[in-house]
Order: sequence, then structure tokens, then C-alpha cells
Amino acid sequence: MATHAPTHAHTDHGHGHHAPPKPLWYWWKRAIVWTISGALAGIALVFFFRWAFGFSNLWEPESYYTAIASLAGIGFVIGIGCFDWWWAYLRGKHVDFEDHSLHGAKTWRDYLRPNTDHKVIGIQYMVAVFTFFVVGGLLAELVRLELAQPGFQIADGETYNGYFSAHATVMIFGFVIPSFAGLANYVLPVMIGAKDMAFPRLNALSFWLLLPAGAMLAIAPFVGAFSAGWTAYPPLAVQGTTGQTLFEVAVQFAGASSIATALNFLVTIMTMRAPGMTVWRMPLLVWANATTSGLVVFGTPFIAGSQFMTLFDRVVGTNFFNAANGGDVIMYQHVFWFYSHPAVYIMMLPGFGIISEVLSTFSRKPIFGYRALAFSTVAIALLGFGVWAHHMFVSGMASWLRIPMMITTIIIAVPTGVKIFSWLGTIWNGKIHLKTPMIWALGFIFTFVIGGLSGVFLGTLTTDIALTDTYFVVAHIHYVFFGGSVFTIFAGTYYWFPKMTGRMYSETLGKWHFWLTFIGFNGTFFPQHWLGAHGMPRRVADYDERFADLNLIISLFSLFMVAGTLVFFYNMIWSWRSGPKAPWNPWRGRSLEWLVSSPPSLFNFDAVPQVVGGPYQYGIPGARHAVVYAGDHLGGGELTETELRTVLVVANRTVASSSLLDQVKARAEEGYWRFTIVVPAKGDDHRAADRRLQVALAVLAEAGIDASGTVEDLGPLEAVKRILEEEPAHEVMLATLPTGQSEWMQQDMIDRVRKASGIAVTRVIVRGDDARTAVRSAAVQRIAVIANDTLGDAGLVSALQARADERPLAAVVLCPLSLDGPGWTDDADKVRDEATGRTRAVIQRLQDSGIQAHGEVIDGDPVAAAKIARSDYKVDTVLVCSYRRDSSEELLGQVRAAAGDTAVEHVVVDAEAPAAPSGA
Amino acid sequence: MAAEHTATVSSHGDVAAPGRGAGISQGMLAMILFIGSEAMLFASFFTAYFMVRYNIAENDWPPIKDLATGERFEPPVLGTGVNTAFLVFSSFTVWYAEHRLKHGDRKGLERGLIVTMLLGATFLAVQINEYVHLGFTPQDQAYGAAFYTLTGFHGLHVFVGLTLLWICYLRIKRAHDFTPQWATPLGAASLYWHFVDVVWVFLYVVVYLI
Amino acid sequence: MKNRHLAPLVVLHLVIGAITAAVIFGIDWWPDQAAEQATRSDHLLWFLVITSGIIFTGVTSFLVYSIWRFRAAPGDEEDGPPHHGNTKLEIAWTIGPVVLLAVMAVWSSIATTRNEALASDREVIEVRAWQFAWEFTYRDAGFTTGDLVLPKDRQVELRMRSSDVIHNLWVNEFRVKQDVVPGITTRLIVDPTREGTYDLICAELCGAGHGVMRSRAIVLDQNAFEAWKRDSAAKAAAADAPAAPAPAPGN
Repeated sequence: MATHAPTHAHTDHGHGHHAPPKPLWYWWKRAIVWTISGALAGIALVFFFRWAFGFSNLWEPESYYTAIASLAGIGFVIGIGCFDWWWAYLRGKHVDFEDHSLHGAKTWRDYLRPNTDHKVIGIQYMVAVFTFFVVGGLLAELVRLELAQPGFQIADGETYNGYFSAHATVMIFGFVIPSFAGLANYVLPVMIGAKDMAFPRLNALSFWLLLPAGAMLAIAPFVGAFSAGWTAYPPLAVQGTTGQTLFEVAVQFAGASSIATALNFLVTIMTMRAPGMTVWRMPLLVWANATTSGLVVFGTPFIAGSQFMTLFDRVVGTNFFNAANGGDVIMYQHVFWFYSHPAVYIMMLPGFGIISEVLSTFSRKPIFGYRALAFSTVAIALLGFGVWAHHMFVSGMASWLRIPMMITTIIIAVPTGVKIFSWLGTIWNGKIHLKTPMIWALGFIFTFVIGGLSGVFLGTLTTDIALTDTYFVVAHIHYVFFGGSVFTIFAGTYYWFPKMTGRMYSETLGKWHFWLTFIGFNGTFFPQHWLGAHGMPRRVADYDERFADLNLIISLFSLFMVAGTLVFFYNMIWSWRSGPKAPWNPWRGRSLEWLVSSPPSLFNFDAVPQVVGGPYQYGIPGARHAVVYAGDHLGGGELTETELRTVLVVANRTVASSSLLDQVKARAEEGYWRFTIVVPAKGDDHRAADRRLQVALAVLAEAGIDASGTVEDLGPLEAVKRILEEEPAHEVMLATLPTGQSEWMQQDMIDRVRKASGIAVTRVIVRGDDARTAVRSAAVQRIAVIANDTLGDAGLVSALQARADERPLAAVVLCPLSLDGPGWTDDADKVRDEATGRTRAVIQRLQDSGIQAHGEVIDGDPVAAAKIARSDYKVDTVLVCSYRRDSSEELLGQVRAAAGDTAVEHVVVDAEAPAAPSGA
Repeated sequence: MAAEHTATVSSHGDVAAPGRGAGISQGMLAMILFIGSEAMLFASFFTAYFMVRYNIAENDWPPIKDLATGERFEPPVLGTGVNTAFLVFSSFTVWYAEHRLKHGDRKGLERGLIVTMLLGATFLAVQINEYVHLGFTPQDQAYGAAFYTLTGFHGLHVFVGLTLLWICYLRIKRAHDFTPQWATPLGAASLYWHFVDVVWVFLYVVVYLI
Repeated sequence: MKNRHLAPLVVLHLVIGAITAAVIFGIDWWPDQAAEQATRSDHLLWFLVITSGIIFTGVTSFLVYSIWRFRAAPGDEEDGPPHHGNTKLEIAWTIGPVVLLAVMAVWSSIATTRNEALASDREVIEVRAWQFAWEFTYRDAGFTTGDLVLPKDRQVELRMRSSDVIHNLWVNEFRVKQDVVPGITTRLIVDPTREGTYDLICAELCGAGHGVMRSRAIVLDQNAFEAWKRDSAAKAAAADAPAAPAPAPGN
């Protein structure tokens, strides 16, 4: 039975309107249950296998650690909810591709649950990675504490090996690599004009995968620690302490997280840039993240492979690296470094992107040599796959490989040098503003040049043989990792802090952070060049007496860095909570993220921006990077367009729905849109389509909106092309039923229209019931049809069609069913069913003719129906339809009385053959 | 807030620059990249295999399994060869399934998918049987390590491929998914299946034949 | 570049260059050279150091100058001039480093080739590395010792194997090192040129005792070396067993 339920607009705000948000403990309770279940499943699995295959030692711990870590980790990401939507999909359930129920954050709780909003995920990453930074930094201080004096002070050899192994692992996999993922996650989609990443659910999974990795690294010390360095060479890694197993599994989780993010970035950058953003108009951060993502996707599997092999050697007893049984010890190093050298570029290139943004903005100058910087980024990435063996010059590998690897290695110095010089060219003759991000960027140039130069010593074979495995290398890596990557991370964090938090940080504290760190950093690491040159090996807790004084000084300098870090955290936390509100564009930057609010709205942009120039056009009067359409009330006045621009609305069955018409009205409120409606009615009833169109036009006209429309005997794609040939439009609004029900969606109409038209396409989802429900508007006449026996008659429908052709109308069909006696006899039920069937049929026929209709069977007589029509449905006119032979003036009089002010008409239907389906 | 009035945008990607691209959907692009990373994972294991074979064993291959008898490792070339034929054929059947869909023949689609999955399951079953009858374990020298790792990871990928095909099948039956115009998940699953097939052919030639 | 920039830039270069030079030449960066390998390596090294110093001076001078000279006045919200690049300059600073690096590559190839050129009259010593000790076997003389004793002005070839994990034999005064790997024999060529006792250090993380896995490299003049060899051989023959390796701090 058709109902008169209120209209249900399905424009999705993403606030989970249709269900209350779940409380925090819901997610974490699930996560805990699944994690524990995973751990128990792991134990059961290993026990079963060891028993079934007759292993003597049923409880050998490492196989259990492996299984527990892996399955608990997987259990965690399942339990926290990352797979919920996919689980429904893969079971064949109906899913909404536009499910935004997990999108956005209103309170701090929304940050502690799976969230599909890239901005939330970006902040989740940043908080997580800085936590890892603290852990890695504490480990570094343990190292420096031990090294302050020769001999063993706070740790024995094995424990000390654990300190620096964990320090490096946590810093690389827990801090540097994911920090760039986090910053880019937040900034990059906005920077390219997208509303989110290509795969928001995958994005969420990437973040949550990091937590098990971190947990494993944190638990490792309690099960024996891992102490073979972050490089984990066998045979030491195979023979060494128990915690090594957890390292090997943690790397897999971190690697999977990294690959998933990179895949997401690549697809996002390739397919979701705003119209007009050619590759030569992309900000350099986008170039950097695209190339880095390529490195991650193709390089990371090699470290996964290397850790699988050591894991198997440890836990399964294979002989990959057992020389006695045909294994190849050095092979590990080839496989490991084939990733780990590109890894250093993974840790560097996004930072280079950040520096380009910062230097340009705070020098108020275009990037010097934009194309050279872009090409050099790609060159470094590609060349970076061909240099791995420079980490192995003294490994005993095939000696013929060394010179070619030296050559490829020092070739990379060329594009790197090009970058440094281009950055100097950018600031030269600029207008330099020494804000905190800029100071970090300038400091970065200083320290990175030192790191790069020391790298040349290590890339040159002869000097590498002297200097490798010494503190010279430690100095080099920290100059490029800390003075390089970490400085850029700080630069980026300060730069985008206002955008991400909506608050300004304290400049004073920012500068204190920089100087404390800069002084501490150089004091800690510059002397290490000397230590290495004079014979102090790396990875030792005890060293020669003659190095004692310098090591003490170094350890003391490291405390400056600790102080600086404390200042940083204080600044971040205090400013986030109570800093002054940040404007949209505190730095007067030109890229897209600065042209929206701080922080951006839920889906970043109100309308798709149009990119019209490069992103660094400082100093060129009138130059624009992009046009961002914004409503006046959002304060985007500077960029508001004032001439009317046309939106082409494409809809057929949904054209008269309130969802669509509300959208159109909302858009019209922005003040500069007009609308051309095209109804592609190929294969459909044109008269019906036209009736629907007239309803839409009437409603819009009543609202004072400039709209016109036509019905075309074409499919949607052809109709769009035809209309665009005649008049240009700036946006297409395509209204469809939800994905599972919409033929157009099945035909991938959005993408096809977009490609064919070359302009932005937005989609309005209209639910089926909404499409069928009348829009409330003075322009649409609401008619109640009171009829019973005549419901099956074609004449009734024709009469209504004729009326609809004169004036847009919506009908409510009321079938009065007067039954004598109790209403639940079998006969009575039969009568009721038939009446219901007739009512439904009429409603369907009316819908098919383009007249929005709904209705019900009324228990009562026509008078009662008239009352209901007036009081419940508030119709404008009541039509009483009866056969000539059944007409009764008396009844009509009663109906008129019951209807009060509402007009009543009597439609006489000549008794004819049973209803034929309404034509045309 | 004006944000409230933002129209939703298709999950199939937001906006593209005018005149963009080869017409590859986001889903296929993601699968291509994913296959790239999986190919690199296999590359790392093949690296191990090649180095153990050419660097350490100097191509004295397959190496001697039992020093006492001089017996060498012997992979089951014939049986696995037949199995290889099954897997190769299954690439054709999955292609057939996609082809039928383009013609609107949903029954043909289902048939093709079912045959593909059966062939894939057969491949796995035969592989597991071979493992039982191989005559050497993963712990048997570096050869065993490389052999089991390569074939084992491949088997896992076959299993994943079967799962993807099964998911497509479920969606066809229960959600009436896919039309001649839009079948991205099916295309992605079948591409993954072809990848698994290609890796196997390479593996078979390198490890079993030469 | 305008003339008004030239003078201050030159001054900055001189000042920063002086500081850099002081760091380079004023600090004693390298211990003694005790082998031909060290001499060749140090020659290349000085070239690298000086070139690095020049590049560092240049970059830092431009950096410092820019920060000082192009700082925006308070309240100046103007943009800078829209210079997008300078093709000639960009070509120059691409080609320049290529030339420099080519020189380094060629020099290093030659240096290392010479460093590893085998002499026909070389002394071959077998090296065994354990967790956490060194053992040196003089095969022709038939004994084993815990110190590495080498003849001055005569080439030594070390043939090295590990008994367990990867180690690395390093004598900084020779400026050479090489990993010692289980399952293969790695080689190290040394041409000692200076008598003395030097630290022999393990330079590859090998476990808990990595930091204390040390021994000594002792260079004697050739007569003293031959005498020592005879003595040791005799002692070994007398004891009828190779001498015990140097004490290992827990294996």
C-alpha cells in the first residue's frame, strides 16, 4: 500500500544523519576482542601444526610470536572496523558507494575511531608519528647516555645493540616515512582540488596498520629485543635475540601500510586533479608525493621479501642464509638494500616537495627552475633504484659491481645539486619572511648540503672503503635524515599547522625550537665525522679512550635537541587548544589548500575549483592559480565569480524530486548560477518526462530561479553533448537513483559524461521514494483523486494526464472502501486486496506518465476521503470520479461540504473497456 | 553551513582534467599498481633463487640432495606441467567470462567464472599433493627454501585470486552486479588472475624446466 | 647578478671560506698513513674535502647573503620579481657537477684498482673471525696467532672467512676494511709502509661483543718480520699445536 511518508532528501552530508554515531568504546571493544582472538588463533594454529607435523619442541617460542603478532595485528585492523564496508560488499550485500557515515570529525572521539576523511587521517598520522618520534628520541638518548663514557655504563653489549636497533627502526618506519604520508594525506587532496583521496576506506586501513607495527616494536624488548640493527643482516639476524621475529613481522605491517598509502596517492593524483591542473601546474609537493609513491609501490616489496626470508630461516629452519647448506649470506644485502636505498629517497623526496612550497611562499617568488625541480625529482627516484650496492662496497660482493654502482651513485648528486641551486635561486632576490617554516627550510639547506657532501665521500669507492661502518656514516645519515628529512617535517608541520588545526602556533616558541635543535644537532653530529675518520666504528658501546671527551661533548649537545623537542610539543599542544584562530591564508600562499577555510570544510570545496595557472605565480599582477567557487557567506569574496554561470542539470525520473530541486535551490542561493535542465528520455515516455520537467520548472520559477529545460530523445551522454554544443555550461549536475538501482550508474555515466564534456560533474543521489513523491511547492497543484470503481479505468488516467498537461500537478489517490459489517472477513479482505491493487496500479500508471502520485485505501466513504484529503493532505482540489451511472448529487453535496474551502470537481467517467496502459 | 549543501560526488572519482586519459578507471589503476608491487615481491624471491643458483652453486643445478647417494633434487616436471596447462587454460576461461558479459550474456559470464574457479582450485589441489610427494622439505638446503617460498607464495596468490573471483561471483548472483558497460571489479579480479598465471609460467620455466 | 651584490658576496665567501678552511686544515682529520692504500685514499680524500669545502662555502655564502639582503622589511607585503628560471645558469650548474663527479669517479676507479693490484711476492695470511675474536694463520710457516703481524714494504693478502656471522676487518691507518663472511672467502690487500702498532677493529655488527672485538695490526720491518715468523713457527712446532687465539670475551 502506497504511503504518504514525508520526502526524504538523500543529499549526504556525511554526518551520519541516518544513524546516531557509534560511541568510542564500540570500536575499541571490537578491536580488543578481535586482537585477542587473533592471538589465540595464532597460538592454536602453531600448536596444531607443530603437533600434526611431529615437531619435537611443541612450544618453541618464535613460531608462536610470529603467528600471534601476525594474527593479532590482522585481528586488530579487522576489529577496529577497517573492513566493515568491504565485508558487506564481498558478501554480495547492497552497499552504498557513497557511504560517508565514517567521515569527518566533530569531537576528539572521531579521531580515535576509523575515519574516512583524509583530513582526520592526516591528523591521526601526525599524532601517531610524533609519538614514535618521542620513543625513537628516548632510545637515542639512551644511546648517547651509554656513549657518554667508554666502557659499559647503563647497558651491556646486547642491550646497547637493542637500543640503536630500535632507535633506527622506530624512527624510519614509525616516524619519517609515515610522517610524510600524514602531511600529504591532509594537504594533497586539497592541493589538487579533490574532495578526498581516491580510496578513503583504504586510506583509513593504512593508518590503522601502523599501530600493530608500533605495538610489536614496543613489545619486542620484553621478549628478547632485536639487536641486529635496523639493517638486520643474517646470519646475526637469524641467530640473534628473540625479538628479531617481532621486528620482521612489524616491518610487514608498516610496509603494507606504506604501499596502500602510496597506491592511494598515485591513483588520486592521476585521476582526481581539478580541471585545468595539468602536470605542469601541479605544486611540487604533488610531484614529490607522486614519485615517492612510485618508489614505495615498487621498492617496499623487496624489504618484505628480505624479512620473509630471515623469518623463515629463524622460524621454519630454511637455509636462505646458511652458507653451510648452500645459502647466500650476501644475497640478503642485495635484496634488502634494493628497497632500503630507494627508502632514503622515500624519506627525502616528499621533504624536498615541502621545502619547495615553503621557500616559494616565504620568498614571495616563483620556484626557480620548476621543471628542473620536477625532472630532478623523477630522476632521483629512477636512478635511486640503481645504486643500492653502494651500501655493500666492502661486503665481499662481486667486485666488478662496485665501480658501476659508484658511477650511478655519484650521478645522483647531479639532480640533487640542481635542487639545491634551484632553491637558492628561488630565495635570491625575493622578499624573505623569516617565519618558523622558512627558518626550518633555510636551516635544512645548510644541513642537507653538509649531509649531501659527506655522501659523496661515501659514494666514492676508495674513500668509502676507508669510511664505511664508522662514525663518519653515522654523521652522514643523521645530517641527511635529521638535518634533511626531519627539518622538512618540522617545516611542513609548522607551515600547515594553521590549515590543519585552525589555529596559529607561537612564532617565538617555534624559533626557540629551531635554534635549540639546530645548535644541538650540529654539536651532536658534526664531530662524528671526525670520530669516524679517526677510527671509531659504529654500533659500539665501548670505544677507545681517546674518543671519550668528544663523545661526552656530543652527548651533552644532544640534550639541546631534547630541550628543543619539548618546546615543540608544548607549542603544538598549547597552540592547538588555545592559539589564536587562523585565517584562511595566513601565509598568502597561492596553492589550493590556502584558498579554503582553516580547517577546510568536510569535503574541502563547495564546488569543484577550476585551475587556470601555475601555483607559484608570485609577482605577476592578476595571475591566478585557481578559481574557487565560494559562497559570499563563507568569506571567500575575493574569489567569487559574479556573472551567471550555467549548470546543466541532467535528470529523467528524478527531475521533479525534492532532493534535486533542493540542491538546485541551494546552489542558486550562491547567486551566480542559472540552470538548463535536460531530460534524456530515450526509450521512455516523452509525455511523462515532459510532465515531470514542467513540475521542476514550475517549482524553480516559483522560487525565482532562472531555469529552462527540454526533453530530448537521447540518452544522457548524447543529450549532454547536444546541449553543450549549443550553449556552454560550467558544471553538470547529474541526478540519479542510488547506485544499486540506477541504470545510469551501472553505465558509469558520471565518468563518461565527464570525459565527454570535459567539465566538472557532480552527482545528486535521489532515492526512489523521493523521486516519486511530490515536491511541496505553490507551483504544483495538489489534487486528491477520490475514486474506487473507476480506478481501473483508462479514462481516469487520461483525464488526469490532460490536467497535468495544462498545469503541473501531483496527485494523491484515495480509494474509499465502504464495507458493511466487520472488515476482517475473508470476503472483506479480498475486496480490500483488490482495491489496494487497483490503487497501486493507478499510482504506477500516473508515475509512468510523469505525474507524481501516491495514495492509500481509506476505510470509509467518499465523504471521509474528502475530509482526509483536506486535513491530512492539504490538497488544492478534490476530484471525485465516478461512472455516470453511479453519480449521485447528494453524495457530491456531502463531499463538498466535507471538503470545506477546497475546490471539488466531479469527473464523470464513461464506462468503457478495462483500463489500457496510459499511452504516449 | 554551505558545506551541508555539497552534492555528493561519485565514488568513481571526483574530477578529471579535460580530455584526460586512456579511460582507465580508478579501480583498474589501483589493481595495476598493486600487481606491480606483487610482481616486485616475487622478484625479490626470484633474486634469492638466482643468487643461490648462480652465485653460490655456480649453476650446479639442481644441487645434490643427499651427499651419500649423490641423488639430486628433482622437481616434478611432468605433473606440474599438466597443472600449468590447467592454470593457463583458466586464464582463457576468465577472459571468456568477461567477453560474454560484454555481449550481455550473463549465463556465459557465470559459466566462465565457475570453470575458472574450478581450474584454479584444481591447480591448488594438485600443488598441495605435489608438496606431499616432493621428497624434500623447505629445510632441505637453500634449494628447498627457494623452491617452497616461490611456489608457496604463488599458491597463496592463487588462493587470493580465487577469493577475488568468488567475490565477483557472489556479487553477480546476489547483487546482480556488472553490466556490459561497467564491470570494474571483475576486470580487476581477472587481471589479477592473469598476473598469477604469468608468474606461474615464469616460475615453471625457471625453476622446473631450465 | 647586479654589481651591488658582488662585493658583499665576495666578502662572505672569504669569511666563510676562511672558517671552512680552518675547520678543514686546522683540525687533524686523519691519523697516520701506514700503507700505500692509505696514501692513495687520502689523496682522493683531500680532493673531496677541498671540493666540498668550496661548494659548502659557496652555498652557505649565498644562503647567508640572501637571508640578510633580501629580508622583507616589516610591513612589506609585496611579491618578489617573477623570475622562473635561467636556462644558461641551470645548464651550467648541471654540467659543472657532472664534470667534477666524472673526475672523482675516474680517480677513484684508478686508485682502488691500484690499491687492489696483486704483487707476485705477496705474503698470504689467512684470517678467521669468530664471535668475538680474530685468528691469523700463517699457512706457509704453519702457525696461528691472535695479532696480525705484517711486513713493511711488502704486500700482504688477507684471505678471510667467518665461522659464524658477518664481521669486518678494519685497520684505520691502512684505510681499508672488508667484510668477513661465512661461506665465502673475502680478500683484503694491504701494502704497509710504516712500522707501528695499530688497532685492528671489527667494523660489522656481530653481536653482543662487537664493540670489544679488537686486535692489533703490527707492522715490522722485513727482517724483524721474517725473524718473528721463524720464532713463531718454531714455537708452534714445539707445542705441536697452533697457538691459542687471542682471549675471546665470551663466545
